[in-house]
Amino acid sequence: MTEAVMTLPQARRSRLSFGQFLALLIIALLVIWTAVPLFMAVMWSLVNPDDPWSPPAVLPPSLSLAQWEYVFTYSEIAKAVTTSFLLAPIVTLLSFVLALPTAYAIGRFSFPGKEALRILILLPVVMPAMVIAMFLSRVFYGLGLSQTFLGLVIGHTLLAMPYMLRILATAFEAIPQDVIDAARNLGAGRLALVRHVLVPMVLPGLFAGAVFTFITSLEEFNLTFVIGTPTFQTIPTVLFDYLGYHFVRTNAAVVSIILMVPSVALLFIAERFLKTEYLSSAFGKL
Amino acid sequence: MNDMQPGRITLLLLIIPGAGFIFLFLSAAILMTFLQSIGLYSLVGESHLTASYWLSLMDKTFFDSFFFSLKVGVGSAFGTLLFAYPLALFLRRRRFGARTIGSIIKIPLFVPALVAAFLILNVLAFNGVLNNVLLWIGIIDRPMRMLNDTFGWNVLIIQVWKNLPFQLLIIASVLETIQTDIEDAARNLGANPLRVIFHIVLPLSAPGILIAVVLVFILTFGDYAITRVAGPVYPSSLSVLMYTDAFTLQQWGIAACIGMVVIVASLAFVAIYARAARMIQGMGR
Amino acid sequence: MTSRRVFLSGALTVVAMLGGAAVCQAADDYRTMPWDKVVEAAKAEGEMTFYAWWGEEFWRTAAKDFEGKYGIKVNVVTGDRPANIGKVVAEASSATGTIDALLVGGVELKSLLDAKALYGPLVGVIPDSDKLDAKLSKVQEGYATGGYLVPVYRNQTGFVYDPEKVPNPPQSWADFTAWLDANPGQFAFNDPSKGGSGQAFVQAAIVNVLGDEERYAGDTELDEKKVADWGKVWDWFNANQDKFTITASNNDSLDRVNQGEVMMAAAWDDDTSVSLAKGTLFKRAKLYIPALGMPGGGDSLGIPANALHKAAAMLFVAYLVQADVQKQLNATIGSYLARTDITGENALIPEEQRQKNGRAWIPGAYKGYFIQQFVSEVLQK
Repeated sequence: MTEAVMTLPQARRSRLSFGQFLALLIIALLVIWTAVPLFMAVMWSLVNPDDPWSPPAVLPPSLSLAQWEYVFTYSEIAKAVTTSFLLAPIVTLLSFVLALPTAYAIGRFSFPGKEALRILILLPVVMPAMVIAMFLSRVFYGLGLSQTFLGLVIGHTLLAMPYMLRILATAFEAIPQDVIDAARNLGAGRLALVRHVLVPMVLPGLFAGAVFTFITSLEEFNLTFVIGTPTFQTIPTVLFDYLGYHFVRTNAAVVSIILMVPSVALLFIAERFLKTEYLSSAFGKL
Repeated sequence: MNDMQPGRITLLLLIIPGAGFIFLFLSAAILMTFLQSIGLYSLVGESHLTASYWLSLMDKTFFDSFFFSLKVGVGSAFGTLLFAYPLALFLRRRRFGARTIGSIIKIPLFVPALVAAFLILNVLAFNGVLNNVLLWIGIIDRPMRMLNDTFGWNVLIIQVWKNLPFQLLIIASVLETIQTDIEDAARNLGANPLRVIFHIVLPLSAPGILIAVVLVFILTFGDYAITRVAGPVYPSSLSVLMYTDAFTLQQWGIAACIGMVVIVASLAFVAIYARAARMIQGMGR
Repeated sequence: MTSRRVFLSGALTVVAMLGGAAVCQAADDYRTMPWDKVVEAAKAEGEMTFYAWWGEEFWRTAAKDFEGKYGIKVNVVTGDRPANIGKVVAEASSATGTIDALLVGGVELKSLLDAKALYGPLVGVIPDSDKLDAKLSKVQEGYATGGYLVPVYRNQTGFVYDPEKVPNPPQSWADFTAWLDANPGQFAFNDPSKGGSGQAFVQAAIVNVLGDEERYAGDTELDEKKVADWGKVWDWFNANQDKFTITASNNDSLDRVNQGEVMMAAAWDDDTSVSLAKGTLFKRAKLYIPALGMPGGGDSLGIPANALHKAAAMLFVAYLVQADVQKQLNATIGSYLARTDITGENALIPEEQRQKNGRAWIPGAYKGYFIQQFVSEVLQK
């Protein structure tokens, strides 16, 4: 009896430390898995033109900001950043305006065909982007929207709005009916209901939706490439140029970092609001 | 859930902005693809209804690309699952380290596809960090050539890197719906952890696994950017072939046929996804 | 009162239109105007758009200097190469286009010439255009340009190599194949559909495996009889497949040399020069033209027929072929000057080697054909 009592705490202790050990190991592996590629890109962006990075050097022999200077002086990056950061907020706003009523309907009502509707809304996210891009561009060509800013706005909204819609719908769905009933019982009219109940409860979802839509527009490549270039360049199209025909590793490294910084920054800022529920509602549930 | 049910007109008015917008432009694109594949609406040359594009589609290039895309799709989906599922299981009831792991793991989700391709290609380069580390440890005595390999390993590694958080989140949310009392009951009855996983957790999370696999498959099957940048010189993926046919060879009809193949395949898998998602809803919270 | 006013305004309108048409007629023909009038018109236009696919360091610098000199703003766009040409061809049917001048080169120029999308002839009108390379001014890629394209630089392909690993770079085709056998997988060239240096190597292979370089000269269309024996070339490539590394672009080949993956690669002289300056290729790398011969040519500038700022475009073209600007081009991106009366200092390849081992490009019809053939006969097998 005493033996059993004696061994029990020991057993529990060793199981805890194994789990902890595994967790630490996984964290270490993940850090390597995520950070090392990022670190290498940073290194490539800092290669000194007078001191090329070639074997046997494992890291650049000396660092310099020359590659950054080059990209900012000679490449399309200035125009691309402007276009990207002009498109993204416009697309987010348009997505919000279009998505709000539909998200409200899906979130709060039940009606026949709702399931099919949810799938329709998911389609732009999962359908192969290059096919949509190429043939939508033919449609736009016929409509005179090819190589126009409006065409880009429409295209980006098509691809980014589903995120806003699904997240908002989940947010609306999550509002407990009793809160609304209680407010009604206390005499709240429609406007008051919206202002004091709906909006505050949906705000986190709105923020999450805006983050996703903004980032989707910033990172959008296929449609912008087909419909917009060469008249309009965004950061992803500039990066693609430096990865394909006009492959220059150092320039690609600089542009990659420029493209990544806003996305990852938004991720960390929004970490508090991006509960797993929002992320998985964007993809996982029907 | 139910507010006062609105009238049908109101409902329609609410739905049209969001869903209507998507429906309008998506169906325009798909319709254009279909029409161009049968020869109508051609912007290059004349349009006349024809099956010639479809008939000339099935050549070696097309089949090589089709099977390559299939390989990438299946490989990416299951390759990611190999990492995502155990990780999800591990994080399930873990308190220590879960937040840190959760934060770090989300990062590739926010890294755009092109950047992910570039990052991994750097690592896999001849003088890249992977070769240098393996050389230093002594596993290999000369660097390996890993870029633009004909099998497509580069593409698979990039897709796994990029899609891991995506699958992880889906599986994690599904695992959350599995009530722990079933597992606890099994444990109390003497089942060891591994049996619990295989006989209880795995079957119950099957729809979630299906969704995770299907979504990653669809995304990677029709991918353009990553296979264009990191893929082998030959064969190309279907989307890359489609682009080349259209813009380099000016063969829009054939490109449209390839586009239809990709669309139909994707829609088929979306249907599977819908089934699986319905099953999860049925299981309820 | 009103009717007279109507009549007057009507008459004035007609006169204005006729006068305007007359002015338009005269204004349009920058080709026959005295040059100082063109300069005036250009300054009045005040801005223009220029498209290229590489060499942004030079074009942007030149644009800034040009603006400083004439007060005309140049919007330089570096876009994806086929997209640029595609855009000009697509806009060709409209009355006005958005591109005022662009860099043109390679097999694509045929689609521009065919679509009659260009304004000109410019050669002979642009000052100093008579000092440009005579051959390129008339014929490029085997197609007669009619003077619509003004050569802006010349370039040359060769083999870039690591002298530490290749102490005696091969010269003849026999030397080269022997070197290949001794160093399998150590030679890189790009998929010809993705860059000119790969095209250069495939051409060199065709010419050396089959001999009889001259048979294609002067053809503007593909002669089936002349390519009947090309199967031998593809067989050679397939037999030696594991001796090559096929890369994805001009610069990718250079990158493989830099990373030590291959010892030698087919490359452009200007690309190599830029890589060396940028730090993406180790400084000890050398470039040479082997005796087996590697082709070279050049790229030129064109003005779309529907450009909105034709005078400014012509002035910019004239600026770019000026002696000091040509020297600046050579110093910045390492391309060989299009002008034959001066020489640039930045030359990776000595002049005699250029003269002796450099070859002309095979006519465009054959080039386009072998690019396709390479994909279907070699890559797909």
